[in-house]
Amino acid sequence: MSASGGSRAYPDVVVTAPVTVPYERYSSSSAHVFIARALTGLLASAGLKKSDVDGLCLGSFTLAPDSAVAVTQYLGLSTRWLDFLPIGGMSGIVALRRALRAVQSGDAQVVACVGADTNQPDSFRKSLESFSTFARDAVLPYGSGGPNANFALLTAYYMRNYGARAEDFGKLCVAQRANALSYPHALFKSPLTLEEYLSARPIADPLRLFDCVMPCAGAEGFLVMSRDRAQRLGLPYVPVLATSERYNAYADDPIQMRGGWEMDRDRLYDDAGVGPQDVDLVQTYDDYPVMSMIQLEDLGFCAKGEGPEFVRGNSFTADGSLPLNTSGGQLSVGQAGCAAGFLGLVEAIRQLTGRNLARPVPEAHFALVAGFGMITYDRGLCAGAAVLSREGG
Amino acid sequence: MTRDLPPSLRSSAASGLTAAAAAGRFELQVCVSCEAVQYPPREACYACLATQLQWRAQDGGGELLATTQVHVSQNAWFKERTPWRVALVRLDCGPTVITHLHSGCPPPPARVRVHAFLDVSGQGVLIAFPAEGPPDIASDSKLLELVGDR
Repeated sequence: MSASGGSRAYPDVVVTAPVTVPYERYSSSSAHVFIARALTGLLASAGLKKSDVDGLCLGSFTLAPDSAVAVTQYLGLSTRWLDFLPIGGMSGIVALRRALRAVQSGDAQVVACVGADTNQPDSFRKSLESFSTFARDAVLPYGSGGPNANFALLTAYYMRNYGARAEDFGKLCVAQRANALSYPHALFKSPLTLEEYLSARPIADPLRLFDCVMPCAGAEGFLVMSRDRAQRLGLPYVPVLATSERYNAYADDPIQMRGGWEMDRDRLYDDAGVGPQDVDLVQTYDDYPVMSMIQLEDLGFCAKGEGPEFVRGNSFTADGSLPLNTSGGQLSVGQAGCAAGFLGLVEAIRQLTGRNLARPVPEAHFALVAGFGMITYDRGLCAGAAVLSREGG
Repeated sequence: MTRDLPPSLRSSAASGLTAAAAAGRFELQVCVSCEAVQYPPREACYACLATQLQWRAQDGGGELLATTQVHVSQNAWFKERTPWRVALVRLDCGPTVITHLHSGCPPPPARVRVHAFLDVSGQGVLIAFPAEGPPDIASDSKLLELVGDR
C-alpha cells in the first residue's frame, strides 16, 4: 500500500462488479450468447442500463468471423471506446490495464471488460489448426499433441533441471481442487487425491490428465469506473495498485523456464508499494501446474529453481500459508477460452470485496493476479500481472 | 474415404523446408542482411526485420533439451500410432526446433543431429537422430511409417 493509502498508478479508478457466466463443458451457442449473458450480469450487479456502458473491452477466440466491433451491432451497444483482445490467458490483465487508463483519461466512463468463449464439440481441434502460423508449420506436424505437448516438454525440462517431482505438481492440483469444492461454478465437483492425480492416464509424458485443463464454454467479466461512480452506485470495489505487461521476453532462452514477470516484477512491486511478502492471495495463470511454479519464482515468492521446495513448504488452500487460485483455478473450474484470462481477476475482486462465492481467504488485503499464454510456437509469449488491494489497504 | 495423413497444411514460407527435404537436405532460412538463422519459417528477419531470407543447408547438430511421448493426439494419423515421440532441440546454429525423435537417441541432455525428411503427407519435417552416423530411419518402425518407407 502506498503512503497515501491508495493507488499511485490509478488513484481514482477502480474495478468492480465481478461476474461469472456458469461454465458448460460443451455449448452449441455462439460466443455472442456468453458475451450477452456476461453483460446482463454486469448491468444487473451494478444497477446500470446498457446505454450507461460507454467502453467495451472484449477477449474472445471463438467470435470468428466477428470481432468486438461486430458485437456492438449484434448486442446493440453504442460505445465510444472499444478494444478487442484475443490473447487468451493475458486478456484479463490487459483488459484491466486498458480500461483503467481509458477511464482515468476520460476516454470512457464505464468500461465493461468481458472474456467469453463458446466450446462447440469441434472447437478445440479447429482452434489448434488456426491458432498461429508457427504452430501450423512447426508444431502440429509433430504428433499434434497441441499445447499439452509443448508443456510436457517444458515440464520435463523443469523436472530434470530443478528437481521437481510429479508429487509437487500434484500438490498444487490437489489444493486447487480443494479450493474448487467451495466454488459453485467449478466444473470439477469431486475431491482429488494425490493418488488419483498420480494414477491418472498419461496425456503427454510427464503430464497426466489432471495436469491439463478442460476446455469449456463460459464467460467472466468486470466493470472499470471512477471511484466516485462506484461509491455513488453503492458498489463494492477494488483499487488496482500496479500492473505489468510484457511480450516475447527472453527470446534467446533455449527453452522457456521464465517469463516476462521476472523482467517487470521490481517495477510492479515498487509501483504497488507492496511485495510478495505482503500478498495474501495469488491467482496464477495455471494452464499447467509447472506454469504456476514458474510464476511463483518469477514473481519473487522464491528464487528460480526453488519452486519445488517452495511448494513442499507451503499449503495453497484458502486457509493455507499461500492461498493460490482460490476458486480452483482453471485446472478445476475449466478453461473457457479467453475467460480463463479473467478467472483469477474476478476471483481476486470477490475475495477483496468480501463478496465471495468461494471460501474466503481470512484477512485478505492484497492480491496478486498473473496472466500468461499464447503459445504460438514453443513458449508462452505473454506475461502480465496486477496487484489489487482491499479499499483502504 | 480419404486416407488419414499427418497435418499437411503449411504457410507458403515453409515451402523451402519441404523443397530441401525432397532433395535430402536440411535447410533453414538465413537473413541475407544479418545472417540470423530463422525458425519457424517466416518472411521477415526476427533480428533486423529485413525481408530477404535465403534457404541454406545446416548441419543439424544440436542439444536435445527435452522429450515427450504424446499419448493424446488431435490428428487421426497420429492417433493410430500413439505414443508418439517428440523432442525439443537447440540447434548449434541458433533456433530451438520441435522434432520427431528417433528411438535410438539417448535421454536429454544429449547431442543429436536433426535431419529433414518428407513425411507421408508430402511435407518436410524435422527428425532428431543420434549425433553420430547417418540417419537410420529403418531402425525406428514408426518413423519408417512416417516417411512412407520410400
